[in-house]
Amino acid sequence: MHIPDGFLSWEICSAGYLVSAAATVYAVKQLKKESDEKIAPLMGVTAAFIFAAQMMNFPVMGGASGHFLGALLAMLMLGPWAGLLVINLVLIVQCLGFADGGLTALGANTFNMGIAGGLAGYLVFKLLTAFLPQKRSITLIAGSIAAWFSVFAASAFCAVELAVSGTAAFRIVFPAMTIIHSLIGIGEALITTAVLGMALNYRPDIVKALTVRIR
Amino acid sequence: MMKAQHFFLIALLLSLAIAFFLSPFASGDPDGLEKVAQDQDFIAQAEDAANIPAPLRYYEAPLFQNPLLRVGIAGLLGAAAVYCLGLGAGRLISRSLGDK
Repeated sequence: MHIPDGFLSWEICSAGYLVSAAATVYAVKQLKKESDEKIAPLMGVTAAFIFAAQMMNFPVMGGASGHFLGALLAMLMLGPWAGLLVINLVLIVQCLGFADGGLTALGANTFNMGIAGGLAGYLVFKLLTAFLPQKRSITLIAGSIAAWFSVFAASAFCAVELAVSGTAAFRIVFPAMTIIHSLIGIGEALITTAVLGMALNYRPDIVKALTVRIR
Repeated sequence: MMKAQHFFLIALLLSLAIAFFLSPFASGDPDGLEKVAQDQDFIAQAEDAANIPAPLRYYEAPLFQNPLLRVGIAGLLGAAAVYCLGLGAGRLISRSLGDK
């Protein structure tokens, strides 16, 4: 879902940069409050996994493919703020190193996938688990629902930006984007649940979403 | 319980292996957004990313002839780069904690 240059108006591009920059500054501030030195290696590993997994496009339907996003997984493993930073890093490297996603659209891409996708998905996870006992099965089911939602939300915002930019008509682009990403979201849910399950098996203590309360 | 260092190491090696060995076999079909853009006829508005001096443009490493190696090396370099950046960012932030 990396938007290339040329799809978005300069207003949307600027707004994307503004919101994403503000969120990044806020994320760094929040992270500095939590004294946890152990997070650095996990940030690196999570970034590497997301980068690798994002390259693995899988076919969905009618000659289209989708790929893992990983924003929600990063936030589950690292907490929302370190997770957001990791997604930002991955998107910056993809843009500047691999020409994946436009430079003018980088702010909007960060907003869609990191903030709209990741943070919204994280909120869904927290809401689903808030009133339920902390059981493995509940954690995994909530994680898969939140993962699906994160891709759906990212695609919905992407469609709105395309429509506001005058690139496509809302009543056509919104259903098209959300329907195809509802399918891609199933892949997201499967991968997120598999990785989360593995982490819970071997090192449940590093899964940050289970140790910190939402603020 | 498995040592945290071992868990991280295994996860990192697995990620690098996916990036190197598996990424060349990923689906080459257009992704969700590209597909919608093609179907709705605005794909032509996408500007070629020539303005970005990306060294590994479109996930292909120059200098390598073998198509599997071109993609695999690009994936490996990218995964290694974001690992270093993630680790570095995490250390920078926790170091600034120690200074306080």
